[in-house]
Amino acid sequence: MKKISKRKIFEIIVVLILGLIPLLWFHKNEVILGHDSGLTLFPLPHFLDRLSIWTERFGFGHDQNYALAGFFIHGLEALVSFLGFKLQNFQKIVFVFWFVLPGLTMLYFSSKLEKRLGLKYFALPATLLYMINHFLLQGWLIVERTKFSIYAALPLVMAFLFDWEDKKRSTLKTSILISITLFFLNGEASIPLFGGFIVSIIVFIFFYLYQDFSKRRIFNLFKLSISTLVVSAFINAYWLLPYGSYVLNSYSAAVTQAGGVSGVLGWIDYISRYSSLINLLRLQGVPEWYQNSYHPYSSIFLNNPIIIGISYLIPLGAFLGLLLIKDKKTRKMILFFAVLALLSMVFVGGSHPPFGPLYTFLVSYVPGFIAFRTPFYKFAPALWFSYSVLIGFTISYFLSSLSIKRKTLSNVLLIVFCASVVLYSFPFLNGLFFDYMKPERTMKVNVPQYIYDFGKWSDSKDRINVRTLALPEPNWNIDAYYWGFWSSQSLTSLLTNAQIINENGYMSKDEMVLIQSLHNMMKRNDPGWEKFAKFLGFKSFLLRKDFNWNLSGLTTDPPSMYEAALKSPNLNLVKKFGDWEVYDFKDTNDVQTKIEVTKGISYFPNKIKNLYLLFSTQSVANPKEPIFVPEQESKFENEALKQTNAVYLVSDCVTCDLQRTFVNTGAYLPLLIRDSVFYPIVEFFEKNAEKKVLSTLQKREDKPKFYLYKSLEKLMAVDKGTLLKREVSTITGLFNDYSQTLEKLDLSLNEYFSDQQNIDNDFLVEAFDVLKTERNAYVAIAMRTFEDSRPGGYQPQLLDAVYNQIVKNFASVGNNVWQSTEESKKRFLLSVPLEREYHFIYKPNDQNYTLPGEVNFSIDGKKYSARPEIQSPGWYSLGKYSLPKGNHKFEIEQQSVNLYDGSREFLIAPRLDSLCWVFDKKITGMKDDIFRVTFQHIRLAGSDNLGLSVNYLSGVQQYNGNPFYKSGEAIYPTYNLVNYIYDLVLTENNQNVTFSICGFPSTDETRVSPVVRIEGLNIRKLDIPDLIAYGASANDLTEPVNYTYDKKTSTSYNLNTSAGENDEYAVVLNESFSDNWKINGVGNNRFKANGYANGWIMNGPQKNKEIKYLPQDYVNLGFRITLISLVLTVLAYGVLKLKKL
Amino acid sequence: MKIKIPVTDTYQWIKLNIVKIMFTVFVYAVLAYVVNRPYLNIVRIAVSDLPFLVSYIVALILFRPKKESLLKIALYLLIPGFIFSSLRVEKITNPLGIFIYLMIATYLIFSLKEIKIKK
Repeated sequence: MKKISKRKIFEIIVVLILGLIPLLWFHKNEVILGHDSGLTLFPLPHFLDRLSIWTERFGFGHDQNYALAGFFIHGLEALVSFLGFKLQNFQKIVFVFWFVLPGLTMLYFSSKLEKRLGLKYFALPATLLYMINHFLLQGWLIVERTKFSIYAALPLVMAFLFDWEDKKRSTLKTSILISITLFFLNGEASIPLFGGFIVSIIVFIFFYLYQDFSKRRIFNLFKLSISTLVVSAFINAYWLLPYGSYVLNSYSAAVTQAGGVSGVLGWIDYISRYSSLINLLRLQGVPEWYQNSYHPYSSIFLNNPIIIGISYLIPLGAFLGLLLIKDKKTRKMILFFAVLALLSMVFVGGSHPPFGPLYTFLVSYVPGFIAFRTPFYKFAPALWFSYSVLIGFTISYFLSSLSIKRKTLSNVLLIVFCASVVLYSFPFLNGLFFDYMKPERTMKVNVPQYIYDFGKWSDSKDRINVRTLALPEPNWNIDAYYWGFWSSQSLTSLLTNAQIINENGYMSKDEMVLIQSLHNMMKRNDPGWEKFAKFLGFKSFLLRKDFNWNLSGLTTDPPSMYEAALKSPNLNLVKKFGDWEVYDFKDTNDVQTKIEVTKGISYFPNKIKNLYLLFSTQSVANPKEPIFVPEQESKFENEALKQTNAVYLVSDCVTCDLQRTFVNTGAYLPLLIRDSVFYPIVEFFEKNAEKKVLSTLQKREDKPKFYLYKSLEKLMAVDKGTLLKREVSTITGLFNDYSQTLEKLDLSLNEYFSDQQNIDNDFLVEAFDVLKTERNAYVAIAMRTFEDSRPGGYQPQLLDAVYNQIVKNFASVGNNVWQSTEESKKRFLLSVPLEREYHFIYKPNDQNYTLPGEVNFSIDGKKYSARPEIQSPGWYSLGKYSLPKGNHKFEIEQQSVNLYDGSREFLIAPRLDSLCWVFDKKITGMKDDIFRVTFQHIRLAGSDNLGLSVNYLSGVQQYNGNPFYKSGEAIYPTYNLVNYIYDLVLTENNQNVTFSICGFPSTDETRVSPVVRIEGLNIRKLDIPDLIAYGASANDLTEPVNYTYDKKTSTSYNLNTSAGENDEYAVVLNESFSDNWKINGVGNNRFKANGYANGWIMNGPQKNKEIKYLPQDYVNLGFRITLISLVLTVLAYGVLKLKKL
Repeated sequence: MKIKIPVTDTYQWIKLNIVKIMFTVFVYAVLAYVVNRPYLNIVRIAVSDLPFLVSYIVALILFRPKKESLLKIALYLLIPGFIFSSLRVEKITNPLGIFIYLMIATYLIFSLKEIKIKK
């Protein structure tokens, strides 16, 4: 057995003692939780949940294949927890482990190098620099165990590679050691975290081949790579198999979710803003230092001249060795690490100049490189690794030289250096870095006992399968509590494996919309919220009164807004845990269970955001009956229609808010116009683009849409040409280009309108806004040319001709679009999939308005009048009408109610004691409600400077009689009667707005008292009513199907049905939709049910039919492969070692 | 009475190399002008500090400095770097960083032949 030297023992002891630094971070009962740490309160159940590829902790269920590779990170935590340690002690143990691990692996590496090069005073400085530094400090902010894992693996793997190069170990043994290292320290298989690792390997390969470029060396390298890949693939099969299938299926979706390549590039620019070379040379540029103005310690490093001075000693220490050290073997290593340092800076710098364009190119064009979207954090380990070694060399040089004559002084200086390394990263000593934004956001929290109690109760047998809705909703997915916890990951997902649903990033857009709808219904105490909750499978509600709803910048609605709904007689307060209250439905018979089997399904071919409306009315939708919500390209639609029970049609009231979409014309301003020498290139690309678009049309509106925006682009070219006063011929050419595009638009619109049944009204509304914008912009451009005195500069005939073309297109769209343009006429468009008799029910959505005794409306232009009957609170039945398949236009009259009921005229005569007129009622409503204020004003007396401020003060803002407290807009009355119009959009729920008109004090020198007359004041809500048309099936599809099911695991269910031999029925698994949910023998007869769940059409009786999440089979297979190959690998290594191969 | 003007090594060096210095500055000025012209500024998307890089290479070719000198200058430049960082003058520290980086990189490139295994 090799004897360990006293110095080495000393070094190990130093590393272990410094490894105890995390113990300084815990005070009293504090634990570290929240932010992005993913630290859990109950590690063992959390770990067990992560062994399953489908988890119910997030949303309506979620694929967590990414979690499998965290087997060792979370397994270690589970093991420590299993031993019975309390949360704080458990965290102390785990933190010390991750703190000391990079130190030990680096000590192994540096000791090897020390021995290989015959150095002294090298290992400890290098180790401490690698173990205690600002990169890791930033990682500890979120206790990034995945990062620490791969960071600790780097020195080990490099040590194995250098040994292999020196032929101290065979290729196979080296492969086994590297594979086993990365088996345990795999960074949770997060490929981007391997950035620094990959750069280090690249430099190693370069050096290996550059030293002696020979076939033998290439072959050796090839052997090592292949054997490492093969061994790694086998022993990591447990996560590689499911992960591989996930990557193949979801890569493009993940890129899209990150905002596409352009979104990623924008993010990289943001992250790289401070990664300048001068910062990187000093091991600075950590993005958080500069971007978080509340950063707990960065200001001292950025502003203190002494600390800045120390930062300049870092590059000096790193590169001075190149000048001082002459020993060839050592110089070779120094060169290796210096090259690694400089190369890693290229990547760490991301898109920052001077190497930014290279990084941008790699992200844009190298497949997979887009994963490295936070370059600093991903590549920095290589930089810190190389600097640690380089500085180690320099320190070793100085102290070794000194020790020849003054050994004691050398040892003292070594200790001083080590102490300096620790002090330079002083926030490690007090845990300051956990205070992300003190005092509101810190990770050091005292968890109230009731949180633990709830977690245990929720994981109990009775509760684990109860779907619960967490209240209130978070804002931007941030879960925050008054007792300190805040994170983008919901607390309940770290507390229990039960399905407690919070809005979070793991949910699909549709799922988010459904949950938001339910939240909104509850906040309004909409009578139908219970039915909708039951439809979504909720049996329980968790009201968290300690939720920090007022978190700065992330305000949401307070828990009290849900109290009215939760006081329903249909709910029971079943348990109270401190500030947490749990309410259950008394009757759960009509709550959708995990698996529902029914003969018929309802059909809802509308926007998912309107689904809740079916339940806001009484006796329309049955919460137990699954609903088929077709997606845009649903292959299943025809199959589902056969099985359709009720058809629900819900249309948005088209443009009832009377707010037009703003078209950003600036975005269409071309870079080059006709007179540019490069314009032929532009033309070439434009023609190609046109050909491509026309040959790949997917929807009917694609063609007119292409020409619509092309025309806007051409108009902007005219704008640019006239603004820059280009040559007359150029401007004429630009007008002609625009005219030609309008011609093409006209033709494509005519073609589009030829089939009236297949018109997308949303597109027409969009086209209407674009053409209106074009028309207005054109008028401004045309007027600009009036002043052009050059011959041919002003061409009235051309201007008229083009204007007529615009008007023609505008009229063409205007005649076909179906939209509300008047306040009192509400228009809806219904797309009917099946001919049926439809029952129309209508909700005016204005508490001040009641439908008159007789209501007038029209369907497809045919006028009807009906006596509305109250169907349920707020809803009126308008009768039943037969509608054939196709689009149908519905229009109804609804007058708005003037909230102002005072005199028709009144005067504003601002004097010092009375400056304002205040509307005595509060304007109140829910978020996004629009109130329109109109009046006429005329100045009767006073100076020309007389002005009024029209104020809209909301919430805590109180009117204080100050006319300059402007929160609306200023108007300047004249001696003519002028109309005033303003749309006030509420920005919060239950917002109260005070409306006032204030006069500015007169500045008239003649001291004539200012007087303004206000006439016809009208304040009303712009109503956006709702309309439902539902048609029941003539066939009876409501007969129940007898079935039973049992849940084996979260990825497997057993289903038994006792339907007749030829009976068809729908089976719905109320877990988030995924193609990977399978039923054997049922092919493509599947659909998305309830807007989020998995549905199948099956027939005949079924016995023990398994519904399973297929990738779990890969996981199970992967674990077997891993276990067998791991045993074989270890055995193989033992044999090779014994035989000294 | 005669006034004796001390003629330093630096002065001599500048006198000898004034043409090279001026040429390097000229290259930088021309390129800085050219890459800011319309259409040609597209080059900056690909290489953001082209004038700087090209004039650095021109200077290397003209002056053929010793690699040790380059490294020494790079390390000496850390002193003004520290001063300007303390004053937070990023307009100077950023190009200085690039300059230091380039000189260290040049040193490494010239030194790489040392690692070749002699057969």
